[in-house]
Amino acid sequence: MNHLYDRQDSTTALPTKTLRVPRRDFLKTSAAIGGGLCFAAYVPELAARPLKDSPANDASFAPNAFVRIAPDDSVTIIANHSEMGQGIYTSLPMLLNEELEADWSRIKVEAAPVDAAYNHTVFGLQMTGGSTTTPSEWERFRKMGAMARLMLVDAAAQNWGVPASQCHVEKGIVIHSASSRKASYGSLVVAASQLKPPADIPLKDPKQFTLIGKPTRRLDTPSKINGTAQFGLDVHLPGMVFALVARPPVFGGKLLDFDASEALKIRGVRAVEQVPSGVAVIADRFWPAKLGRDKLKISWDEGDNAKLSTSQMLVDFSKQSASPGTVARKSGDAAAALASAAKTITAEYDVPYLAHAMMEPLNCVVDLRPDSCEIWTGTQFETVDRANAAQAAGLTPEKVQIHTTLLGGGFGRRANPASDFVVEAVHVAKIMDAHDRRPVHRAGHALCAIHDQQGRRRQHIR
Amino acid sequence: MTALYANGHRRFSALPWRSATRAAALLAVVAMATVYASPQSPKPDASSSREAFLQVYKVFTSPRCQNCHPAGDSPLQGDDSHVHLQNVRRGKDGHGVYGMRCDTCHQTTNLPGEHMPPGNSKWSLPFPDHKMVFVGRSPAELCRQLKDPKQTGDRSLQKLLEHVSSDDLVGWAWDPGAGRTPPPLSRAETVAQMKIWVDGGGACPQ
Amino acid sequence: MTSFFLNGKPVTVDDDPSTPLLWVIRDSLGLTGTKFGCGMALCGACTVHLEGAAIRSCVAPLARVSGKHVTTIEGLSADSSHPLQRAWIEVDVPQCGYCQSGQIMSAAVLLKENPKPTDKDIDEAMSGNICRCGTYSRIRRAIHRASELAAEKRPS
Repeated sequence: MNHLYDRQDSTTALPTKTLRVPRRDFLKTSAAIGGGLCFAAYVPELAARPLKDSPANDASFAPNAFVRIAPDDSVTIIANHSEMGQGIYTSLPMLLNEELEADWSRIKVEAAPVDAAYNHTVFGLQMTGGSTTTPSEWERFRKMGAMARLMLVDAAAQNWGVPASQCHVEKGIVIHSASSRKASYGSLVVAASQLKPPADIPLKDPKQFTLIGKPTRRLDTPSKINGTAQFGLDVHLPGMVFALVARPPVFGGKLLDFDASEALKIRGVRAVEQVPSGVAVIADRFWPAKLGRDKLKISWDEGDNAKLSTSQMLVDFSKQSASPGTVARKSGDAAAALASAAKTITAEYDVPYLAHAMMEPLNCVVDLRPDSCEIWTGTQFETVDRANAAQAAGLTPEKVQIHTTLLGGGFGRRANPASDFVVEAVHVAKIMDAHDRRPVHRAGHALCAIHDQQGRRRQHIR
Repeated sequence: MTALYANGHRRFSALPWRSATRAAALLAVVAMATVYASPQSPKPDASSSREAFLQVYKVFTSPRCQNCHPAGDSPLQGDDSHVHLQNVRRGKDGHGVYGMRCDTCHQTTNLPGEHMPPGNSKWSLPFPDHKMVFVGRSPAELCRQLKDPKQTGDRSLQKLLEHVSSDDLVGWAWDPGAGRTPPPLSRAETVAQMKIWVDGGGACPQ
Repeated sequence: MTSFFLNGKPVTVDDDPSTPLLWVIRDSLGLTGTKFGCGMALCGACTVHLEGAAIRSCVAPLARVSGKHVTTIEGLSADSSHPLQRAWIEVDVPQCGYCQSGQIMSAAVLLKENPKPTDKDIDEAMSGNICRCGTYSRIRRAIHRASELAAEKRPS
């Protein structure tokens, strides 16, 4: 997994057993197999049935966990991967609708809840990363679309008493040309819901594709040009509070002591408490929390990393580059060739430390109750976050639900094996739960913790 | 728009002021001539004037002064005088361009905290027609430039002394906010040295 | 109490006058289209209009806008019909989308002052708005397109 995100930090074990498939090896394998990808962890039975508590079960037709068709002909595609700018809220619907053949203008996208049905087909957990979404869903999403189309066509054919093979679909309308009969998908949802999913789901020959491979406008653009797109930071629940956490200025640093007296004088600051990652300032709004955090007096034990510097690291790397490395492949005699060369060129290249800095600061909203924990956040790592949040909350993972919002950039930073930004928010919510005995919180139980990474960011941007 | 930005250097260089300074400049030249003609005057001599200018030069070429007196059309930032991030431009009135005006980010006062935008109600660069470049000028070059009305927007040495001693934006240099080193001399010392330079005839180092 | 006009409507808030406008707009008045990126006027995601000029709302104290008109992305048009919004859709500019409110608000000031900007004008006007996805070339194309759309709309 670490390979996926270029992370060298392997100190935190993943709570879920995963396949360790480096991205390049995965692509190589895929390429070698050619037409049909190998979905090692793909559990078709899970994906192929709707979720038990799906809102679909009332009036809509939900043949599987990935698509729902409503009586008004609208089609909701459930995206199990996160939209962080790469465009999968458009490419996943394209895959599915290539086979479903619904009216593209009626397609809507919804983020999937956390469920094994939505696990990555290769990595076996719900996640987005490594540029794998489209290749890993290439077959599954088309199958889910084809399944729905076959059932809708069957429903229409049975209504009309004609063979399904004599019917075809145009833009979400089933047509029996011989008798000039037509039925929209929306009009077939009740009948189709009575049918059993087909055992065999044939897919189109790629030569027949009408959507895949064609330039298609993104479905999320209209919401991103008028302020309505909802990112994690835009989630506001009634009665929620805001928290910012002061963390050690150095990785691995520890809190020695803090004085919150000045912070507590800020109007709107409700509490200042220690959390495992530092000191949390909890306030009615973001700004008082920020002012309060600025007013904290903290002494840190910065630990050994305090001595670490970019310039020293470069010197060390430079020294190491001059020593003989591990041989990956040996071909010919480079040392001899260099020794006898007429001219040798020596150059040293270095690149700066690259931060996974997204435009949208890390943030997380948590509604913690005695027997449940509801989370809103832009994440790339739902399964892992859920397990880590459950552990922090003292609940089983089934009691934790995550609402994945749009991500203001991901770049792997939101796929953190320790789920730092989610776990921190849960810890803050636990504090608020203790404070909740005060009447002020009884009315609205909604609880929220937001943190940003400004403290760290300042070191990078000048 | 006009109302929003009709402060700072724009007002400073309004036309009536220009004719007034022309008259003042003329008077100053006459006064200077008198100084040169009367060696027994208690005024500082050329050598002290030159010495004083070298002190003033240290202030003018410190980051707090030269960052807004750059050679090109981009302001500079920081104690290392790097080019202002965000490709900030001087613009027609020294206040930037389009949605990148100085007061898009800079407020009327400094904001608390390091790396936060500093502020002043007149925050701007000199006008493009008299850029008053400090960056890269030798003491002699800067000295001659300050005495060239074409380059100073018709400001006399006396007016320049007033600019340094009482202009609010210039004063910001000595109250620059967290993370910015003030000039090497205090404002009072700077004004005193500049006065010696001016009173001594504005002598220039070689 | 501070009063100002937000997207044409009078509003009154009891936030401290030193509170950055961004948090007043987002937390007190509930309009979340204006984004928080850096809080230090470095990224441009929080750009709004104050009396038609662009400001970074994350560093502008509430006191600055007292009695004045503030426009956010939500108030640029009622129905996404502003030439920039139409061009943004046509050119499919956004990726993650987080910076785009600020990009559009900066571009709106540019077009108002310079209806037919050159590439250089665009670069000078837009350099304060960072896009981590790197949509800059499409932003430039969309501004040119919006310039055309606006010209079509103007009666000749």
